[in-house]
Amino acid sequence: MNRLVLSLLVMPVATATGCLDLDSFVMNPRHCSIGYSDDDCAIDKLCTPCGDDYPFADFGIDPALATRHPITLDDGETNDAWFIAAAPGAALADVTVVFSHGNFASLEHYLNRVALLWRAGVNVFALDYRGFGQSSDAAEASEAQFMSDTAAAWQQIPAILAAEGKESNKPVALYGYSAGALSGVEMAVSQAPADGGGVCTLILEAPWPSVDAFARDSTFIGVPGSFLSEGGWDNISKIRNYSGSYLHLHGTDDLTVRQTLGRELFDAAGTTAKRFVSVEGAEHGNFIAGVDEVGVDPDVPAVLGEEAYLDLIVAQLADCAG
Amino acid sequence: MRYTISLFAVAACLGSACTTFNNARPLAPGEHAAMVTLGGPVADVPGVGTIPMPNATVEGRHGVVDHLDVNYGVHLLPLAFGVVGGHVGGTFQLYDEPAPWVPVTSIGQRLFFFTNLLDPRKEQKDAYALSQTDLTLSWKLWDSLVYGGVSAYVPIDVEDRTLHLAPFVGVEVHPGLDWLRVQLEGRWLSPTTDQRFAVVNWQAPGDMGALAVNLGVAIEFSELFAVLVNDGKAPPADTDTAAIVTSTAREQP
Repeated sequence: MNRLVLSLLVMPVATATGCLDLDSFVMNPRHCSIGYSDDDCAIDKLCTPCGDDYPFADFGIDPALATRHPITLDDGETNDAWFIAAAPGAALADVTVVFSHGNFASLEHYLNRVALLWRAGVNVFALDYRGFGQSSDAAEASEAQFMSDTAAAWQQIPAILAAEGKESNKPVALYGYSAGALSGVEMAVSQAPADGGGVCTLILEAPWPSVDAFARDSTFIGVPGSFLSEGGWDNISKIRNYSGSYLHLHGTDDLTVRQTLGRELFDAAGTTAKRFVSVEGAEHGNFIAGVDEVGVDPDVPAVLGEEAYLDLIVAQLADCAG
Repeated sequence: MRYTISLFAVAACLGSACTTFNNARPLAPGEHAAMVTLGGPVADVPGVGTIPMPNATVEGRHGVVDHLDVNYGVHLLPLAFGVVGGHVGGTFQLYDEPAPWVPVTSIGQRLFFFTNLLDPRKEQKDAYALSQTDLTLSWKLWDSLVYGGVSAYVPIDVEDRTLHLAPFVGVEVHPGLDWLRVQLEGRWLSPTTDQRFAVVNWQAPGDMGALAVNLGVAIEFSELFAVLVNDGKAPPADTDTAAIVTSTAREQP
């Protein structure tokens, strides 16, 4: 809230200088260094002090399977990241899903989603971003930094897989939720396989389209997107260059990234091996069962139910197994 | 996502093109006024509440001939985004007030123009124009003006010329000073547009269109001049200033 109020207060100054655009307000991080209130912990599941491990056991994950692997960035800072190994004997124990969370808070807020993916029987490599959670730099990333940090994460994945006793050159699956699609699509499109095996599939849930698309959608009298945006954070343009398999999950009642914007992204994807799953009645926000957060209605997994959701995910990961 | 969307709500106010002073009755010939208007469509801004968007417009208005004035203005919020925006227009009053309680009818026309041509950060250069036509009925109630009507907005665009209507009601009062007018207006923008799935959570009955609230302040220069020069009293008839002060005092009856 402080961030938004500040944004409103700086508006008059920005008016005088003409320096404002929406590209600067894509991320909404919470860093552990500012501390968390009781409400943060109860409602948003932001509880863990800097330096402590996340409470994986609260989400049904054996903490012994979770290992922190900080990503070293170009400027020497580190982004927090966790590798959660598949449960012993899991059917897809050789498959790794790289999970990129949404723009709010930090990885800790999404541990329920990490655990859900993990219950598909896969390894989950969950990334945090600069300025978020327990990353070393408390300052939010610019778009250029974000993409550079994403590239750094991608380049270090083979070594992390090797450290975890996995096949380092095996293709990984990418899962981008909401603004996490910015990281997912960047990895899918812009990053060379390097020493790794590339991308076996891309899964996007309620994904970020572009600032321009949001800007156009915010008014209903056809105001050009370029008035509000420098054209950054543009997944729609980027995904044209993706040719691998692609699953798109999107709720019909998503009031944040409306489904028509998701369709725009889906249609732009340069692959024919793509599938759009429209989930009737699903909203956008990370729905944490049992938490009464105002304005957060059941999301895609909550509406589908865990079994149906995981069936979809496992089917999509068929390209990654074996 | 929630706070990011809040910023979109603020930014989307650029497109509201509704934060202008309502000219229900034209100024008398030779009269000048300056207006500042604040407000815009109402949206639910997560973390803040339900508020009108903080658009601001500075305008001028000039009585040309009997029953006709012109107006012009610049829009401040777009400047924050590197967008230069302004409007020009005029209001024509169809007839004098025939009798108390019988409304005066006026027709107004404004053309809005915005461009990011001067913003060096933007590779994509665009221009946007919008036509606004107002049909206004107004009643004098003692020293105040009550008005209502409908505006018709049409983007001047080869691809999209969708007509958006906006019914409005407002009141204009003198808060104890002859040279000062305060106007409060409510407007329902595009009540036929379904906004249920819009990115911005505009507030309106049935999620149709968006309600807007504007607060405007106008300074009428001849009245202010009268106060400054003559201490608010009618000047002697044989002075030069008398002709100015007494001939250009008010809006059309």
